[in-house]
Amino acid sequence: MTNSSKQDPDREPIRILAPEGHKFSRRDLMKFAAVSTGAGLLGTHQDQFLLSHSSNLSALQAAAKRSLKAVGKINKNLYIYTWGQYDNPTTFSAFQSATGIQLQFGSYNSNEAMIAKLELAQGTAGYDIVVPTGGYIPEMVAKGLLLPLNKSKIPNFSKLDTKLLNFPWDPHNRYSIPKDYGTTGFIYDKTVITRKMTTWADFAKAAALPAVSGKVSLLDDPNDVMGIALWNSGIDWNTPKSSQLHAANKWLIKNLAPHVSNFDSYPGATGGLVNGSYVLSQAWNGDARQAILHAPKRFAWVVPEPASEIWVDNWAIAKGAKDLNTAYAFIDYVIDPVVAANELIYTGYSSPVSNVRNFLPKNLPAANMIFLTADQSKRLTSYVVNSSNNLRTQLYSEFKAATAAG
Amino acid sequence: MNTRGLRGFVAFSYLWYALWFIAPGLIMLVYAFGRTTGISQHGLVNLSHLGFSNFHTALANPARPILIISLEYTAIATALCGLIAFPVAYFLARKVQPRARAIMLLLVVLPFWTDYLLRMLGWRIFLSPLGLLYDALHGIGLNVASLSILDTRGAVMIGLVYNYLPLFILPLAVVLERIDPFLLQAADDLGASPRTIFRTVTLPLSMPGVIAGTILVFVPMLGDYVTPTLLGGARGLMVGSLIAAQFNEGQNWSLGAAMSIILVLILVGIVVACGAAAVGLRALAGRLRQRALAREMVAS
Repeated sequence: MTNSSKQDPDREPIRILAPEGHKFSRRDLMKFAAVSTGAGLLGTHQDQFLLSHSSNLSALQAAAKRSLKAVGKINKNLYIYTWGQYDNPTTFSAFQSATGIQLQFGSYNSNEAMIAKLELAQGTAGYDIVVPTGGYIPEMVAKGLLLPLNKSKIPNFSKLDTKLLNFPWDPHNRYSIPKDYGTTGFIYDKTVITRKMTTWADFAKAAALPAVSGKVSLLDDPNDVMGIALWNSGIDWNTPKSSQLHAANKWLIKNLAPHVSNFDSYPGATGGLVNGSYVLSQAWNGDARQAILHAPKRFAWVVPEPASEIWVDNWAIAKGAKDLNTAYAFIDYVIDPVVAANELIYTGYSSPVSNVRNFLPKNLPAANMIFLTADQSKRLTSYVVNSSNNLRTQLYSEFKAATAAG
Repeated sequence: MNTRGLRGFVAFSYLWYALWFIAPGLIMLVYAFGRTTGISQHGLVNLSHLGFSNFHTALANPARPILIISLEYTAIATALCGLIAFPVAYFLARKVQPRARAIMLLLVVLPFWTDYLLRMLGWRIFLSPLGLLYDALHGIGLNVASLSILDTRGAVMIGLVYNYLPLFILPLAVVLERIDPFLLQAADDLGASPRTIFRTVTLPLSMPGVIAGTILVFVPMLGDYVTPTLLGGARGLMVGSLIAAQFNEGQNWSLGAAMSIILVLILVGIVVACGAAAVGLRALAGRLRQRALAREMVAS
């Protein structure tokens, strides 16, 4: 996932227009939408669950104090630049109360926007912590936007699952610490689509059904949309070959453009699925889970064959960070198993912390959407920004123009 | 404030404007001739080889059809605004007491006190298949199962007209209110029917309001990207969203800059055309008046 916060039920201030720091939040919308459409209080179950199962405050505070001890002298402020509503609020409040460190936040809704801002400011933006998606890290390192990490200041690093370390986009995790990871798939309304759905070809075929066409949403993300065609035809998602990308886009324009009604990175959290605007949506697992939690019998989730995406979002320290020790203390804290569990319950995305499951409630709803099976993992790949990036965004514009014309 | 102080203040405002409006505009102009940097290079735009390639891209597929669609939408929505605004403004200016008029004008601008984004999201909810509109249509016995409004061009049109209508009503109401009642009375005294009075007095004299309304509505509407993004979904793509996408997900600032410059040029062209139309109309009116006068003199 390149273009938006994964879960971000709440804030993602409506993608493109995205006035940063807009007071309106997506979760508010969801409730409002649910009330006004008579669909019941969407999100309530989840909220009650959050209240009763979030890690308790003292455990979180103890974790914060442990992390603080490991780093030495600290500053009293930390500025975090991250995806809107991508963390459990109690994670932050416990850290603040235990350490006295004031946290400040800025939010963005695409890696590109975040990179552009850091690039413009050249270390003067005042941000200490940023949260890039894995595939963007090489670009950020090349542009000199990140600082290398001193892992002796992050003792909890040893608690991370080695399968989620040392990715090609950041060998030996010099610049980044995994925050969470998830997958791209699709969710559909079983009351409308009754056929068997397992592949991206099924997705395209279902989209063309009369009852479905015009009620289909795709992620608002060039690489995830391009992925559908590449995954479907067995081509490497990272291919830089112009001919393959053009052919893939042609396939998308022919098979999906006439049926797509919206580009929406949060069809679950924004209520598009629940209120019936979409009956078939490409989605990230944590977001799709929002719809499933609301109507488990109505929707089904598919991690499609033959291939799809696994993305990893990461904590990193921005160039120009004022106090590294404070940043280390924070990063160490958020990968403490207690804190990681608290985050997972909120976002619905898997954690890279090895034993996080020991800290989770037994009755986590729709847990099968959070944790990947070995079989699913085998068919998932990641995208790393490469030289074809400009072509990809240009093709995406063409695809969007074709859907507008269709 | 004495004249010198006033002059200083005016100079300051111009300077302020130049700094925060013209300077960024010039930066965009320069960017438009540059090239987007590679993913591992520094800086946003590479200015070492200037050229027109961004303008070619901005005027070729797929940007051109989007630009044309946007012009169509904007023209139609502006015309609809005008058609709806005229009777409303006429009523406000001529048919109600001053106090009632003040209240009604307040009602026209009231929606602007609420955040625009919020209002558009409200429309989304209202127009959604489980929303009130479908309930109401279903309630009066219509089959709404196959109806889709949200994420269509129709929804964009609804949103655009709704949102820009006050900008047409206000200047028109002001102009209509200022029409000298003695002119109307004179026409009436001379035996003109109400219809003739409207056609020959009210309508021509309201033209400055129509032109002002057209400009006030058309110019921001063409660059609007909130409405099409929120209500039109994939079908409602307009040039504003396309430009925003170049700066955001596209990371292609030079192309976005070129598209913006083209949009500005189109808008300048339209404003100039409207201005020319206004001047032309005034000249025409003057000539007609002279001819009428001459005819009267001959007759007498």
